[in-house]
Amino acid sequence: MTDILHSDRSRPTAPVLSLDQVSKRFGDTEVVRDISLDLHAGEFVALLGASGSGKSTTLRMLAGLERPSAGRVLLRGEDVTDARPAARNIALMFQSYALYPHLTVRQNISTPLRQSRLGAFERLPFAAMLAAGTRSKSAEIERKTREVADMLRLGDLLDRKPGQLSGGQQQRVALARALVRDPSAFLLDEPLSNLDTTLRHSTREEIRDLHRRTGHAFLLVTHDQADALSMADRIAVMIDGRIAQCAPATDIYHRPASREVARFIGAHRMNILAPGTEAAALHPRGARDAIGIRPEALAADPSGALAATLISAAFHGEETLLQLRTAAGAELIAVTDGAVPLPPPGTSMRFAAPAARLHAFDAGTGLRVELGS
Amino acid sequence: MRLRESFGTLLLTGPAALALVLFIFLPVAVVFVLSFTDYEIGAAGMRWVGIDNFAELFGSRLGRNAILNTLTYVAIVIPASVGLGLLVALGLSALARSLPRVVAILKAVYFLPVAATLVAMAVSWQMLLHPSLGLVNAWAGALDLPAPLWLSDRDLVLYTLAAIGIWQTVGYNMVLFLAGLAAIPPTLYDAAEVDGATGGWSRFWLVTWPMLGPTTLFVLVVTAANAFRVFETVATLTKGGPAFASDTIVYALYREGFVYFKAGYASAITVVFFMALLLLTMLQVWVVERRVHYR
Repeated sequence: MTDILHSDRSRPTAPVLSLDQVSKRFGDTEVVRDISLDLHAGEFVALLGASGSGKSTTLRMLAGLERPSAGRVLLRGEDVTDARPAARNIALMFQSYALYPHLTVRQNISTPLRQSRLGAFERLPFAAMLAAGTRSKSAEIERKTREVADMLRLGDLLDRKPGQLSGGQQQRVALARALVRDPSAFLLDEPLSNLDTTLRHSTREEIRDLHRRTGHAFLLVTHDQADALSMADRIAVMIDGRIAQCAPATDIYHRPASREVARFIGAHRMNILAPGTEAAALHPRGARDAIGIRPEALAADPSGALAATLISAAFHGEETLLQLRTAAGAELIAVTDGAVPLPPPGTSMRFAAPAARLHAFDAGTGLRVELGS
Repeated sequence: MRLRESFGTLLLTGPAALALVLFIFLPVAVVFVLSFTDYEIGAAGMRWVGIDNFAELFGSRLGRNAILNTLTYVAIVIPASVGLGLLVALGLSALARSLPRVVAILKAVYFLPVAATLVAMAVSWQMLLHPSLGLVNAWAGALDLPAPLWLSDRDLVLYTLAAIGIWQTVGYNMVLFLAGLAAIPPTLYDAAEVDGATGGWSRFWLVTWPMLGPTTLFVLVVTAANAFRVFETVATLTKGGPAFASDTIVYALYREGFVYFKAGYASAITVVFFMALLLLTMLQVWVVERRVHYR
């Protein structure tokens, strides 16, 4: 018997699931362009991208619901590009949950087991009464269903229909149905997008906890960077059908691989100064490369290198958002402590940023240029 | 203020309610009363006869024959036209992706009988089924098959009418089922695929059939109501004959009431028919509440 709570994560780290130079086109539009991605055992990876960036298509190709136009999908090193979803034994939790509305919670959760372990005749309502073999299989299915349901606090709801459950409960049923058959990898498509804010926070914790307890490889697709940053070990940022960067959350934030990634990640958009005298004032490389500064790294400093006019200030409680314009016309944002008094709009101010928190990007390609420190 | 509001409400609902009472409830009440009399249209007086009319309907060979014929017709037409409607809809929706034009044409072909006037269609059927000149028997002869008397063979006529009834309703049921199929969320099929329901058969039982529940029920109600009311084809093609072999309840009601002017007896038939349909509808509503809406 395999224990769904503790699958072996001490195996050598050959990727459980990988995409190998996969592309997908629908008609003339190329939705996914030549991406490669590895998902290792026990790992939690987030696929982060704006809507239309191709992340859902990527997920569907991993699950086997879409066939790549080019490239291969590998499961433990084996080519499964042409295998159907059930043969891959990959669990997928849908954004809409996709619960069967006519089945009870118990039947919903046990569907994957009933489909894979029982023949068409054994699935008939009274088959278990007739054949002993079916009876023992059914008992095993019932036991696993209970185990997963209890783990997700669904034990008391097993006889309800999905329509009688709250959004959070439906979400847990969808999780349970995905987990029940001990999947080789667990894919989650925007699992939090249908939940309200308070539930989102607790569910994030719950999913993280589930990942720790089950040890499965998790792949989360989301458009919300807060979800990705708070849950995943590694984040693959998808922009325009390509993976722009795949790295741990801290790297993505502190060392973005390109201007696009830098602008995409962070609570406030990163300021980018075009190559020129103002950029060069912050760092000598600014003469040739674009310089990026996160709004939270830009601080008012009378002796700072960057001069800008205060356009407006928006008070947000713990912080104040400053809108600035430089002499060259660049629009900047700075975040300051909400308690600090501010001069009236129109005042010229000076700003400084620590050299370690400056980013440089090639003016042409937009790729990161390392600033030697 | 309250008075004015009530007056306004009365003004809005009043005319419709009055029309309903005048043209539906009152006639129904009159029919109920008449069904216990021997009233004949144009007669000077009438006599209270109690349940004689009902006894006549259920007791006479002719009355029982009409009931039995109707039940036979319904028992053939409901399952066949619902089943075929579902099959055609499933086939067309499966083809819709690869052959959209063919599907559009086929939809029109299947729906044509619904849009056309049934009486006119019945006349075409009469020509098609003519024993010696009709196209059907011409083809049957060409294929060395027997050429039956479709509309004048006592053992065959009811089935011929049932076939025409099926032909007439399949298109309508198909359209309803197509709408039902389009309303099934595609993610449910994805979920079924991921859950291992890979074959068409298991997909059908896991997703399609249960999700079509409300549609199927509606189709059943509509088909049943139409099948029980079978009249036009009987009136135009057979007039209930030969020898009452295709006599149905509604045709008998028409004959007794408007040919023989036996209003009392016709009213009794109407009452029985009304009760039967009411019972059927109540049964179906009861099933809806229990099984079809997944709450």
